[in-house]
Amino acid sequence: MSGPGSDIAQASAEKGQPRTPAASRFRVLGIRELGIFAALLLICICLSIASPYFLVASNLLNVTRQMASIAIMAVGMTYLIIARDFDLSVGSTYGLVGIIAGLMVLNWGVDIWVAVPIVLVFGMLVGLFNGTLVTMVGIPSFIVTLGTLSILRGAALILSGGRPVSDLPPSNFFDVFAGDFHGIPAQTLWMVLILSIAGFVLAKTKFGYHVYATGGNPRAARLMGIKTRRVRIINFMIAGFLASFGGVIALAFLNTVPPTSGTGLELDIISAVVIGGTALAGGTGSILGTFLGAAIMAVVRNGLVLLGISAYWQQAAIGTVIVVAVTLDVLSSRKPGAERD
Amino acid sequence: MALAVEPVAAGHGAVTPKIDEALLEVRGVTKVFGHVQALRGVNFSVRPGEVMALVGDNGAGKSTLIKVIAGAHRPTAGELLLDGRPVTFPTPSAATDAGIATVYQDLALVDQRSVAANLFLGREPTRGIRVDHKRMVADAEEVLKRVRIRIPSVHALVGGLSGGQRQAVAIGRTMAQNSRIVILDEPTAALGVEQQQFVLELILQLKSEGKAVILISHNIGQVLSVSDRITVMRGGREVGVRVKTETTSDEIVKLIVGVQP
Repeated sequence: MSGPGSDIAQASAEKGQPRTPAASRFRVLGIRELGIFAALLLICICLSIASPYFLVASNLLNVTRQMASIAIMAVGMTYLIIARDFDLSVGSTYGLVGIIAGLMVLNWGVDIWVAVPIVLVFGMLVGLFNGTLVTMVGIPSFIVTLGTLSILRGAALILSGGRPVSDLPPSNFFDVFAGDFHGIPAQTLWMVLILSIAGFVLAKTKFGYHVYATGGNPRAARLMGIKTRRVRIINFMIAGFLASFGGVIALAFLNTVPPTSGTGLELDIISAVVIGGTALAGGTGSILGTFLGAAIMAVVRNGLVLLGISAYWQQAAIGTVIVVAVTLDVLSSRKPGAERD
Repeated sequence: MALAVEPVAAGHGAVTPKIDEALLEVRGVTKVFGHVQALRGVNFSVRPGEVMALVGDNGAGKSTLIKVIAGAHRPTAGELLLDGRPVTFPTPSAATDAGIATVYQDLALVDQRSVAANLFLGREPTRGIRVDHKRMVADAEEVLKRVRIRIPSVHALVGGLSGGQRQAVAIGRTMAQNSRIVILDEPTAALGVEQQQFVLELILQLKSEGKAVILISHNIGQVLSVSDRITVMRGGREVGVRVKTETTSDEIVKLIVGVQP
């Protein structure tokens, strides 16, 4: 995934004024991302040879539709992991907001367009809750969000009575979040929009700089006046918001939400982030990498389906990709010589 | 009337800085942690363009005093004066904003980030909502010129730099912050001989720029070579202030351990 020179990419990604035309190309696609992109390309080439149905516009668009929720939710996880935090509750949030929005419409007669902003704010409040416990009380994020994972899943089961929430009345809501615009899936467009904004914020704004500093050296960040608690709480709120956004997309796409919706989704999301080159040690990573990581997972899944390979193999295949990605990442970061510009 | 007033006002406006005046003064500061009295009424001062060494055995209160000056600890009693005016620093960034920068022993650098990002850590220049990367890079290059060290590029990751280069980035950051007082906590402790020499030159560079430098060090030889005055601490108070040219390493060591000269 990320070759031995991956840290050079980090340096070149920070160049505002590339000194050579060659460097300007690396600025858009850093060397770390270039490695992941090469892996994605390789998988795509292999699949195009193996299956006549892979390299078809409709299939590729479908892949982007399938990866959209994971990629969108992985944005929040990228911010968190760069700052050395974790959120295991995103899968439960994703499921619960579908249940809440559905029940608001079906049982209480609330308009779906009123329910959507409410559940998006709810997701941010979940993030605020997680972030406050993590930063103010000092409980590791892994533990706190493991707790909220269960609480929110329990809430989904209680509220739904264990039954799926289905068949919302027709609304343009379905078109906006899961329709097609000139043949392009709405989810894909949302993904492009959200990832573009999130990528800009992370790479170019003061807040993004502070996210990197908070994960890279928390003590240094604090000493230099960065409000690291505030940064981390905002990260949790972004993650909660985007988890809700994923839940809204899922509701629009399927028009049915089982109370178990999103179970285990947090692991797919963390996988996408890790395959995308974000180090669990904090301080490095990018939204482009996360996008490529989510794309690799979606393409591998799609390929296995097209090749008629049993779904049981899919889990193992994704797991292999993760192990290979992390191994390459650790090996590459062991070479301090590679960190020079 | 107006004619008479103007020259007088002009005369008041052009205040010539007095080199003898302390830039920072610590008066009778005490600090108590539970049952431990770390500082017992310390007096300390430093002037612009002066290197003031702060020496003393472990537990003499050097670190506590420095943390009080840097805003990391609030004094239990006593006062800090900056330009003769009493000041309080509730946080380290309040001290930084007042022009007091600290180079911590661990340097407080983010290894995964570039030299430029580290020089402006926490105070990145912005244009609109973006970080003004162009300006940051230009300013960083300016700072690197002042520290006169060979760093491959301001885009280089700090994690890939040598110990001396990292020290230069940390000291360069105090220049980027335009601080008037620079506190250096054991800046040469972890360095090789050549790099130690380089850091001592950097300290003289800070001095020549008119900054007040507070240098904490265990190395009496280095202290005597680079500083103008030396404050010796023992048991939570200052036990002597010596001018470099009027003292010997023997006298300093005796003051540190408390033997009557």
